[in-house]
Amino acid sequence: MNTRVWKFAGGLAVVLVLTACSSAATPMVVTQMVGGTPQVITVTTAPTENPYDESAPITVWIDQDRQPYIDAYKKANPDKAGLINEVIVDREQLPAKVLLFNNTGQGWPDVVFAEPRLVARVSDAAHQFPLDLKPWIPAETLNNYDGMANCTFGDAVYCVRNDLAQFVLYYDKPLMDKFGYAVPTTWEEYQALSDKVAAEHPGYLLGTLGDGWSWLSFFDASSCPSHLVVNESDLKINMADPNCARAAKMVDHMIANKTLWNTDYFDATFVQQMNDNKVLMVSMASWAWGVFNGTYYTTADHQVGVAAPLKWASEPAAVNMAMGGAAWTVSSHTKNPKLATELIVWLTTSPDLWSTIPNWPAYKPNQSLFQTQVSSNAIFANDPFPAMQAAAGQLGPLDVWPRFDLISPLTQVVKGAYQDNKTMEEVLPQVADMFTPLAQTEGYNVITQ
Amino acid sequence: MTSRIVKASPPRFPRKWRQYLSAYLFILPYFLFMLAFGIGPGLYAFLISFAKFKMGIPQYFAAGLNNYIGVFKDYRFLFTIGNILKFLVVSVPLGIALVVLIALLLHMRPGRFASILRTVYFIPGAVTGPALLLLAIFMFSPAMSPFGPLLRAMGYPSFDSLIAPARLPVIFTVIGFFSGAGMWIVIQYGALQGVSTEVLEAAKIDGCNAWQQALYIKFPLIRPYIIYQFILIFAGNVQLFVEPQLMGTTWIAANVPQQWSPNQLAYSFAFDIGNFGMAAAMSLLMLIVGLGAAYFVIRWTGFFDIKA
Repeated sequence: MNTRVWKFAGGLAVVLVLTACSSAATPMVVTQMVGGTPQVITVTTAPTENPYDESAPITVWIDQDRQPYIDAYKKANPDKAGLINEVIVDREQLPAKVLLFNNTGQGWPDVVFAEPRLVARVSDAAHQFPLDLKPWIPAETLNNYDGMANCTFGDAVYCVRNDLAQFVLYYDKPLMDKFGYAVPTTWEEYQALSDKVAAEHPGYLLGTLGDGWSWLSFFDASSCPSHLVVNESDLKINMADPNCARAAKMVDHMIANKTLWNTDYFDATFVQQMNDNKVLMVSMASWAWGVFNGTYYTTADHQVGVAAPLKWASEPAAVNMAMGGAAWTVSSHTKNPKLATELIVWLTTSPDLWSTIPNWPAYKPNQSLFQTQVSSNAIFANDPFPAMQAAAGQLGPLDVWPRFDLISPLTQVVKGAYQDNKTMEEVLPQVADMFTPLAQTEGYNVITQ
Repeated sequence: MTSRIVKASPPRFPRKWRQYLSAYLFILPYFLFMLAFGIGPGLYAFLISFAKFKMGIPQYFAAGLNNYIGVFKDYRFLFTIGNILKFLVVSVPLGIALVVLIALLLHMRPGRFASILRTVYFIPGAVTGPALLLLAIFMFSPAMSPFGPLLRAMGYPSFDSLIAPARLPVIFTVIGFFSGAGMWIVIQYGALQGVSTEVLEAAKIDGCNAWQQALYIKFPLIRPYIIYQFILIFAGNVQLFVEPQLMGTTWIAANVPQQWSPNQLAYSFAFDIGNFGMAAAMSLLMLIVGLGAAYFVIRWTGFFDIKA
């Protein structure tokens, strides 16, 4: 190529490097002497240096379903309505977006609706997003929420729970009555029932195991330590624990006798089984009753029975898990923490709002409102409230998530097992193989004891 | 004393500059975009690949080579490189061979039928990225796909049973072929149109049949375009991202490892652990792979010396 062209390109490249450097040298960047050598350091406003402003507007990240919440707040507080800017987002993007905002030094949302697992991911050293709510929300209010273990990180409280998504056992009451079966209370009875169903009514199902969530519904309930958060730096992963094997043996038995379906809860094929009334029972989250109205599953009046979660016979009580159950978190970068915290307290506690929401309220005083809502609902064959209340109190330590996604790796393990014709017991070590490096990348010290 | 002869005032631009000015003007718009979206980000990536990141904020030159070392030592590095190699081995030769074959077939029988088909081949190219993947999911779901009976006959009764790590290179090749092949068929067809009719007629008179014409006359004459296709397809396929990324999301939840391709790993460095420096280092490594492949092919074939 022509040398002149090369010179031209070279000159441009130099110009470009210079502009790249100079554009980086905005007022945000300072040069500091560190250990005798100059080092360029980008400075952001430390959370504590925020000049608080009670009239500053706040941006609230929500999903479509939460929009009526914000509208209700604006209606109840017309003087604050103008300060609240709501944005509908895909909250799975929160950890990535926070890093970009940290990088540019602006743009953080003030309030975010997200599951505690996402709050955990934005509270690590790389993100440092949430505001400690303890100075802003009175202790007597904070003490009135269930499920706050998931929002507590060391000494700090990084979120307040919106709702709990504790699992309960949904069953088809008319079908159980017709076949003359009693609702099991232990996993042992559950497995024994599967043999009866397989022999007497082949083709009927007692649940499904086909993705990460449904895997957790069996293995977390068995206290299998696949992701036990010991503290902020230690994570226990021990798939050789007998608690893992007992759950694996049970599901393998039921996969073999064809009483477990092999997809997630909302796969078209499982929905078809539900709507064909082939499913005797399935463990699902407390909010799931809201999709029995035809959103996913169609049910007749008085068809849905709700029982407490199953327990292992040798143990005093059930160990429960949850599928979702969100929270509200506030940015440490917010200019108006007063309004932000007032808003999230109102959104989680307002009786007017919570008398219509189909999710289990994390704010304890509102649980009676939920009772009024479900106890009179025609789809239920029994009053679901006592079982749901018991289930809410049984959320186990595995419901607190580490700072990485559990579902995608578990889904791979489960689907891979089906593809390779392996048992769930055989693939248990794969779970540790997947989680261990993920945990180490996130800075956990992985322990087995 | 200096000579009193006064030279004619020199032209404002050197003559050579003036001579080429229009050419520079023609490439200027492209060059500006290449600077803004190619060279600029590339240089920025080079800059931050030596930066240490704290809270997502760069500390320039604080990391030294640590980001590069971190990339090589990551437990997924060899896995993703192996995956992309398998994908390249399947997708590049197969893609080029099928495109050239279809273009040659179309060119054997010019006329309305061929031009209609050419348009039909081109249509899937209008569907891009995520929408294309959605389409692919329908096509790979035996319950919904027009190819359902075929998939079942091959032993895949469901989407979940089909999508397995071992089959991903082929699956992504199929998706990529249907989105990208149409454009290349049109380009290769255009190249074939440029083959001199006199040469083809001479071949015919000498007794070449249609296949011999395709193999011995047309194919060698469009070789530069095939090399060009190789360079671009290789560079594009090295950067595979959307297909594995979306298939692995919770919503589709296929059995696809979370970080299957090197670009996904770079994305994970940036947005899962907040190390944009490692992400930049990984991206630059992939750039080197793409540029290196192009360089070797150009050297090996003498691409710039070929007269099309």
